[in-house]
Amino acid sequence: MISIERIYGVVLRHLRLFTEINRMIWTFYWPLLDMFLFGFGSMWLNRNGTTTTGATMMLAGVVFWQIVNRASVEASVNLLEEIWALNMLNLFATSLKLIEWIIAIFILAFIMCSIVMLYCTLAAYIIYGSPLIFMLHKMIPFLFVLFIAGLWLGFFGAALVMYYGARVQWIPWMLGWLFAPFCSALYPISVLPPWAQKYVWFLPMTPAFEGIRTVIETGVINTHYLVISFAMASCYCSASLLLLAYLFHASKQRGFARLTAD
Amino acid sequence: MSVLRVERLTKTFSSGSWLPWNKKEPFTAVNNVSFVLERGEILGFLGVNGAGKTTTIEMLLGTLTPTSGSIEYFGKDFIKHRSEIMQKVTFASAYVRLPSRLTVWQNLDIFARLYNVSHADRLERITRFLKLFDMWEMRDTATGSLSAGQMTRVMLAKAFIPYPEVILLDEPTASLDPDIAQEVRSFVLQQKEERGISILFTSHNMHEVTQVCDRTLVLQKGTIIADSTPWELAASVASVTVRLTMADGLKRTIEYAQQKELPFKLIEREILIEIDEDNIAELLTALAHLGVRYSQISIDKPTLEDYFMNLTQRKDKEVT
Repeated sequence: MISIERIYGVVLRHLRLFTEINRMIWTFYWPLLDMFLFGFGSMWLNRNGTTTTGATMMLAGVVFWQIVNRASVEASVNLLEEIWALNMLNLFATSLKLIEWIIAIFILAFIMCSIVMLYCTLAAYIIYGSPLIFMLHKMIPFLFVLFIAGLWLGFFGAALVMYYGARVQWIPWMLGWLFAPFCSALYPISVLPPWAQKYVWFLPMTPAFEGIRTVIETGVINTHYLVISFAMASCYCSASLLLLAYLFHASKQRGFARLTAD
Repeated sequence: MSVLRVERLTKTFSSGSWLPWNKKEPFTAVNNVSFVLERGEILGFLGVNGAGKTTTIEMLLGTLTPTSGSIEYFGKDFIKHRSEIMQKVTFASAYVRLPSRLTVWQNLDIFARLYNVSHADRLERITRFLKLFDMWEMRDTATGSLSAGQMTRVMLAKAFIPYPEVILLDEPTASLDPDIAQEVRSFVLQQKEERGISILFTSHNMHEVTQVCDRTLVLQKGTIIADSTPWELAASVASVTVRLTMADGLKRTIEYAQQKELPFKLIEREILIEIDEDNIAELLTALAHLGVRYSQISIDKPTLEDYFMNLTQRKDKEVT
């Protein structure tokens, strides 16, 4: 049986680190830096003939990509935290089940993504007067898809960390931004080279960002984009979880003690 | 009644690489190990580094999958009922750490939650065990700032807070000051008496094993080579050490020992001769006939450490 107390224990273990300087930098500094960088870029485009909606779209791409990146990092870096802290053996020598750890990470990622998203949209309004914060309620389904897509990448990274340990600690940081250039987060698909345009539709983030752009432009939720992106994100995330479960058991064949070896 | 039954437990590590040119010979770390831990028993697990103690403990915790064999806790198969069983089994090791940036209290609170200890019990037990292990003043200190000895005490508190029925203690007193180590040993014995906890106890300290353990398993190269009480194991070493502080006749004594092929060691004016207990009288008579004079004589009875050294050396010879 799944234990709420054990799940809460894992959530608490990571939340108690939230006020640390490195966590604060992850949560607040880097997203703000991205927003300054791309936000002023979009203002410049705005002055040079691009529509206000176009500038808002670019800013939306920057803000909402944070969800993908944050969910991805939460899912994989929290596992790395256990390895760095030499805590893997302690943690999984309790009655904690892998499914409980996964649920805890899902909750943590959801909390962190919610904080980051609200902070970023508020900052976008304060700095650029962007109306994104007032459109959030219409975008929630797409934002949830982006969250699931982030977990897909994160759990894939966690699976590799679970088997290869600290040797692959660079992967989680890389995965968060791996597909950013190809899934039309910051620009429409038509900007990509023709060969790439065919393949980017296999990424769940692509229809999600197209759907977000439609909401900004027309105020209407495109259910076609929503269903496709949700179906893909769910399938990919499930595949990542299966890989994580498989590599968890494969890792137990060799023991968790070796995971700390760099 | 047994709380833990291990049958023919084996762990073989295969090559760590998929690449054919990087293949290594499979290595058997634990080979056909079988034993039983009774309720309220403290079972010592002895062995030199690499003997397979830690590998066995990892399998008993479920963090390492055995190649073959079975583990049963409380009559239930460990693989099928792992989560349920681990509610009653805890672990502490001097070589594993807790998240360093969390405080002592935060860490213990989280681990108590992982064992489903209720809010009121958490408060009461964490307070009690921190005071017991003289760590109350350090409750708000980050565990990363603790000394090795303090960390060991926190790990012990972590292991006892859920009120387990079985505890696996991997060298629990390593890096503790002698007085604290003695307190820990007394505490372990007290917990056994009061709550009937069963403990698997690994240590390099033979004196400690003799003091604490009811029974001892000796592991060498992944195999159990002895299973008995510490006293029986020590008594099984037939030879004693006769220690003579020489006044006159050291050379004659050495010649006698060499002639009789008795192992001996020289420490300044002292000669230590290993001899079967039954032959002490014969040795002393012979030395008297040779005109040897000594100012002091003592006879050291064998300890568990002697047994351990004796056995491991003998097995090494057999292997080579």
